Amino acid sequence: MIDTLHDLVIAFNLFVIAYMAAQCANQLVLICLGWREISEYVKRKSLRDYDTIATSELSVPVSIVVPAYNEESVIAESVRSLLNSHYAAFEVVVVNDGSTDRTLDVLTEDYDLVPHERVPRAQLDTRPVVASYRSLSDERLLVLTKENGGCRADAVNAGLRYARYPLFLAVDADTLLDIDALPRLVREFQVRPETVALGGIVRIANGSTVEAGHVTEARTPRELLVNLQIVEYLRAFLVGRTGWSRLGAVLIVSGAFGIFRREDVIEIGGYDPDSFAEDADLVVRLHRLCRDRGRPYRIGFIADPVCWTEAPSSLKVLKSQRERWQRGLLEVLWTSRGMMGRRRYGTVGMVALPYFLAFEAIGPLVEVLGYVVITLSVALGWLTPLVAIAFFGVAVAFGIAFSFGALLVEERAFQRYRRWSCFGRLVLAAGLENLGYRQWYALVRVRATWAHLWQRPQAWGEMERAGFTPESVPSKS
Amino acid sequence: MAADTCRIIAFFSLGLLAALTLLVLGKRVIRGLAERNSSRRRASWTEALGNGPVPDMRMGQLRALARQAARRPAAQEDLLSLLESGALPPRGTRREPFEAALRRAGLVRALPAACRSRTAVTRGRAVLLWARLGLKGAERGIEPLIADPDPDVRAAATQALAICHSEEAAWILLGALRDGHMAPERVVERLSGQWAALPLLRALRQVSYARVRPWLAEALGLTGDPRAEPLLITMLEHGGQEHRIRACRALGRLSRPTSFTALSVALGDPSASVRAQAARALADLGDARSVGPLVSLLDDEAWWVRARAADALRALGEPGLTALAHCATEHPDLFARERAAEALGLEPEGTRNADGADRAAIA
Repeated sequence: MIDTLHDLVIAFNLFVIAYMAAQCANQLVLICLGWREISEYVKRKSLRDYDTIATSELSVPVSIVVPAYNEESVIAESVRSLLNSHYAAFEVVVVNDGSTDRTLDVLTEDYDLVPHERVPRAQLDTRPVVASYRSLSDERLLVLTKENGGCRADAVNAGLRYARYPLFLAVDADTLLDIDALPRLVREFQVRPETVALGGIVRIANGSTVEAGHVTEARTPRELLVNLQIVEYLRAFLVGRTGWSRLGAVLIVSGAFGIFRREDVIEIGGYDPDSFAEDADLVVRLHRLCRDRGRPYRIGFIADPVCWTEAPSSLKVLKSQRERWQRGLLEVLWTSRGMMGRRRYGTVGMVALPYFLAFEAIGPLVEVLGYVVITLSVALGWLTPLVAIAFFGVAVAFGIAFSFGALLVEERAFQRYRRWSCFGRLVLAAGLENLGYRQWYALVRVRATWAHLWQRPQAWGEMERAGFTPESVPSKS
Repeated sequence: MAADTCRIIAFFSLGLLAALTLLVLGKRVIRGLAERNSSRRRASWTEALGNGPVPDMRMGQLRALARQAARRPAAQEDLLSLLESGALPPRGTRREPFEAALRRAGLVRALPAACRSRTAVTRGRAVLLWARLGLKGAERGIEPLIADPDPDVRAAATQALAICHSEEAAWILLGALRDGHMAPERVVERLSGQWAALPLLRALRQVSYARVRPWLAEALGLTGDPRAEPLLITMLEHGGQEHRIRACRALGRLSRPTSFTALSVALGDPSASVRAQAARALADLGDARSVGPLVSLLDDEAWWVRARAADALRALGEPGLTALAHCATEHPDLFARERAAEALGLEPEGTRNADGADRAAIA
């Protein structure tokens, strides 16, 4: 019995080593691809004439859809940021999703809203829109009030029904857009008309200086938790999504900042209101639509147009957010199981989906089990403490190395955090991320997986917002 | 044995971390240095050119900078950004010695070679530099790149030709439009200057451009050249639906009072899209005579035409608003009343309540 257990433990340890090696190899490939993609993008910067795109009457117009539920503290600044975008033809459609706070009042006061009849342009099932308003101070603003649908997807779908332009950009109400983000996004659709969806980078605004609805100086806050998330975001966007974009297998276009061809999204029925990861679900369905039709298409990611968001600064909110993400991922993998491993779906079916299943969905489970089994092995004397420490050390070293890789890409391409103090905090966070935070996050994901398998209900949870003050976004401790 | 292996692993891990830390820090420092060099180089260009007469120009320094630009991508980027900002090239008598310095440094010779480079970025940068420097023969050098396999290079070539501001460049762009090398919108937005008007007018009459005539009309509207008006009116009266839509848009942009009759007639077009565009164009004309025809469009069968008519009446100012105020209460058609009321609702409080005398006048 003991012998069998010993053999099992040793076999599992060997499996964990092989698994870790495979994950490291994947990350390394993604870093290399991301580096190449971003280098190419940066080199071509001077070839791009964003001014003409921003001012041309013939540029493709964009509808910006902003779902808002109880966003009174940030909505005015967020809409201001969007309306200040340097672009000729766009509208902002704010969908007040049955807010119980003063979201609508704030908008009415700040933008002189008056009732206005707007005819829907598309048929999508959503909770009823009860009123629509136009702004007297800026005709590009449309506000819809609808019955609460209990999810973001329903609100975006409602906005999509009323949006009138061929491209639609979905942004969260707690985000600030860079002033020149729109021309950068639209250019990709103009230069490569096969583009169906495109994601931009979401950066964390906590601690940064905000003026007139735009981040004027990127800074990092003092809170370690937020800095850890900044490093995580950099790694996810600059390394992960850019790498996947290079492979033509982007699976997630962030719901907080993604631009789509409206008619394609309407054709597949818009966002799925029952999904926890409606953004990833939508992208996977778009891949399926285009692949099934054999039509040339591109779903990509570009790292230049920036959208700033407020990150949770308390563990409780962060935990709820990350649980939702993990459950969303599992759900997307389940709904797209028919695409997995099928050559017809190209790199999406053959590489991206299997990767997400093997390393993103199951990864936390293997990691947590690894910690448990190795500790057990040491306790039972089957493994020397030195080997266990070395094993843990290598895992941590590689984790840190990949975070450093993301910082390296950031330094190479954008260098948004100009101050040495901010840079120092990021380096420190990249180092500390793997000592405690990573393990906590793995546990959260395992719990979320468990809850998902037992179909326990998941609330959306409420984000505690500090709001975008003119000087900076304070980070709550 | 195990202890040795662990030690090796630990050393390897620490070494990896140290190397990466150094790499990240090094990258930051190198980037800082590169930025400093770049700003120094840009300052050198302006310093070498000076502000005074030709003898004050530092020709040696200019040649050295041009030599750098001929060889190094970073120097080319700096020169390009100076050219984009308008700091270069110098004008008047100072231009000749400036060009001579570029020639002697080999930059002029390097540009055609760069256009044939295997690297897309080099080709794209070369066409932009060539055009921005305003050197003779740039159009012919750029022309082959309009059909480049790389979309960024094609876009750069289109932009470069628009920078040339010459008829020759306009004809090359028209060729790209006809042959479908670029999306029509991307070519048309570049043909918006007065320099493109004559080639556009000529192309409109040529059979080989028949397929892209609606786009030529669109471009003519952007040039604002009044000579286009009769041709556009003919297109509006006799063209297909796409032609009529583009002609309406172009006539709206030209904003010539003489287009009023043709546009009023277009309000009765069988195509709803043409009617909507005609309403918009009449708003651009700003002619008070449009009020009557636009009011008659408020009960159009297509809702978006009704919306465009209401928007157009609003855009006409006082006479349009007075008509809207009247229609909001008196129009026999429910939809027309709703549209008018809605359009009025978007006006500030004072303007919305049109005065009784005006209403009576309209009634």
